[in-house]
Amino acid sequence: MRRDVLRALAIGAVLLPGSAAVAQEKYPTKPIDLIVPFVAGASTDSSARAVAQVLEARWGVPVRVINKPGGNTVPAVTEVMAAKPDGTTFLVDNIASSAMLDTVVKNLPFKVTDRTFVAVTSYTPMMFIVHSDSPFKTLKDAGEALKKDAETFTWTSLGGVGAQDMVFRRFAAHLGVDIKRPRAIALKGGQEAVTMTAGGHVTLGTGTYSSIAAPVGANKIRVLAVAGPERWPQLADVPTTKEVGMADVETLFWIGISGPPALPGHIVAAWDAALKEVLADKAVQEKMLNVGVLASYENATDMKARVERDQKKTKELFGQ
Amino acid sequence: MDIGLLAGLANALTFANFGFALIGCLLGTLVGILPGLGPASAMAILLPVALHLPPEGAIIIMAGIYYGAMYGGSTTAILMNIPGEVSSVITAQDGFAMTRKGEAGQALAIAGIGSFIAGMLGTAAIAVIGPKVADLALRFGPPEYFGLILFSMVALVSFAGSSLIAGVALGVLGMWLASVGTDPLTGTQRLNFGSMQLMQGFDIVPVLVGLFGIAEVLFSLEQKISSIYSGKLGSWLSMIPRGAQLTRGLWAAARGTAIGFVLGLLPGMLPALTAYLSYDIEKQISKTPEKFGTGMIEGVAAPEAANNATAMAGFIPLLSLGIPTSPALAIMLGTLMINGLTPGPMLFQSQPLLVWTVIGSMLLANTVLLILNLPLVGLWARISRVPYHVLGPIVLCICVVGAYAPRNTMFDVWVAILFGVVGYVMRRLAMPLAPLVLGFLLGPMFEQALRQSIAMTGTPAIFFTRPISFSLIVAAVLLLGFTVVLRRRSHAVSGLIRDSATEV
Repeated sequence: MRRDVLRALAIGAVLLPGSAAVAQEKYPTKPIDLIVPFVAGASTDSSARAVAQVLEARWGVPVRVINKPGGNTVPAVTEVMAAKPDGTTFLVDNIASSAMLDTVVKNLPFKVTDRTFVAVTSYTPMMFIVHSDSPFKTLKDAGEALKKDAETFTWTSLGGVGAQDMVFRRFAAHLGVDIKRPRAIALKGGQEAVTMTAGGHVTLGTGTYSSIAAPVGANKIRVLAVAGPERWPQLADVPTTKEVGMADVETLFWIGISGPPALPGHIVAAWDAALKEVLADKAVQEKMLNVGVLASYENATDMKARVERDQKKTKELFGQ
Repeated sequence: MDIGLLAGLANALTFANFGFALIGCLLGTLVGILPGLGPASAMAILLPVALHLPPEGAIIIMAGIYYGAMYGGSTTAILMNIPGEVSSVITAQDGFAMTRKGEAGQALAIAGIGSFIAGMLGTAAIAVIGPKVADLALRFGPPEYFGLILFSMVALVSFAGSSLIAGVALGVLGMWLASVGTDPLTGTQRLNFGSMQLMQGFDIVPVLVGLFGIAEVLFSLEQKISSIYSGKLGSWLSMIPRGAQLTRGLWAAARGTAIGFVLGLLPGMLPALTAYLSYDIEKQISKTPEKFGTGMIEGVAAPEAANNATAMAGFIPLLSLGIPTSPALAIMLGTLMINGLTPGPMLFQSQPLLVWTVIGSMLLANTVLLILNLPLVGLWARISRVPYHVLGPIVLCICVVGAYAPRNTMFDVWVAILFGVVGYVMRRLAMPLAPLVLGFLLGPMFEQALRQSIAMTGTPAIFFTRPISFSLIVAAVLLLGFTVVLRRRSHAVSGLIRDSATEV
């Protein structure tokens, strides 16, 4: 019904020569590329594909998800920054490719906030996990151990600047423990951090829901707290960091959409309207939850504010 | 309600699912043959398609690609000395030698049969022991990996080449080359000499394609050979191994399966490493170790079975713990999760039919692959008789495309050419390639395990306080001592080692 009206409007726009303002509003007419800075199959990619599928049906143009992994997301971001702002190329943005990027990579060929922010689509909170035989029952227990005996306390670090490291650094900062005292076990990826925790090789691990779901089900690990604004749907009995009095430890890995600099307002508006509706769709929400992210809409202004906030926090925690 | 393998197999045999298995196997074989396009990239490309299929179909098609690529990788290795996958490097050694003797058909057939045996035994093992052994994967922490890799390196380097020192030096060189670029653990740049391209490091595919494929063409040009094999080939039936040759091949395949499967349960285990180890074991237990490298059927059957068994074994930690042991299996995990299935022991209880269908489809995929591949043996084998002035440029072309494909950069093509020259020079100087390739493959794992272990307690003492790691280190030292003594005491043995190294 609604689509018919839109189509009628669109046809009308084409049929009315001279009404440039109206003709310009017609978007999209060409295939759209969503550049994902990570490998296929990971949460960011899978959630982008869920959205792309619905947008494709809605707009009647192909919405392609293209993976450009590696290089700390710089190659993917650079490509979008250099693309024509005609609404055909977008970045599947996230905390790593925006707020954290200029702390991770020195001398970026662009300024992080120069891109056109469109909307936040979803997030997944970091979670604190321990081996199921661990003496820690709550995050407080872990905190006390860290304060008392930091030098033998091991934690899962992904080496550089990332949500995994950020949440632990916030935890240490909350407790007033110097981050250099506990032993960071540098790992290659989030999955490895979970495997190491499930094998009992580290004192405290962190991970996102999609990576911990299976070992939690197998009773290999215990989740101590969710570093998000609310409890996670599938882990209803695990408290949030705020509930255990550590609100400042909250760390979200959020995912959103952004475009090249100077993207015209009507394109942003078209995306904003579409995303707002798509993300309210129960089927889309369920699909996202399946891949471990929570659908959560935030407009361009809020997204920009979030990036700036996270950027400041990143510099504070990792800065020199 | 008891749902077992039979129900799963019946479900996998529905017309639609059989079709998915066939498509998956065909695609997989194709990407396996093309160097540079591995199972992980093919599965990633097909992931969007899989979104539109029913869960079983999606998983079956992905599994088909995964196995197909394992089969296909050996074809170019045997025929043209271009390993299509990293795990086929060692297959090329005796496989290509067999092709030069006019036994390309036998080599291809035993590679197919070996893979089939591994697939079947592997599936049986998954169905029988399945989740019970999954915990093994978790017991292996960084110190245990360190021990395992150290042992593997010693086992492989000590028997490669005439000089232990040269072997170790080449292994270290391989590790050094692998460490160029971004530090995998901290993201720090190293050894890039300010070059943007070196920041990405050397990809394994161009290195292999250069060292083997391009070097082979250069070497053949120099020898002015007219074709890889110029004799008569005989009929298709005569190419299928029989009698004593078949028996030797089958036993080697069974041993390869066992090694590949057990080691394949560990996360991060490379099919290439289990292939190397099984080859090495064949050589050590053989009555005629000096003939390895000249076209021994065991040298093809064992590594092919081992890499397939490793691929199979990876499904155990994946299905029962949700731990993917390779990039390809990580995509498999993504496929499961998109369809709303969370792996874990719960999966066996909540979705028994689906799990057994997946296992049933493994049997199906392996059978389909054997049926697809055996009849083609005769056709493929003819390639060895193609005049070299025609075949050479084709091989070079495959190499260049293969080097370019994984990362789409010209830099990788130059890397392949450079390593082509390196491989050629090494062959001229009779230096073994195996330690270099192994160092390159295992370097990152070795480094990671070492650094993580030391980070755990701050001292190397951790290697000696954990029993598994300690036993592996002791075994490595004993093996090294044994090799040195053996080389000193016996001229015959050192002669054997020298000879086998010069023959590629």
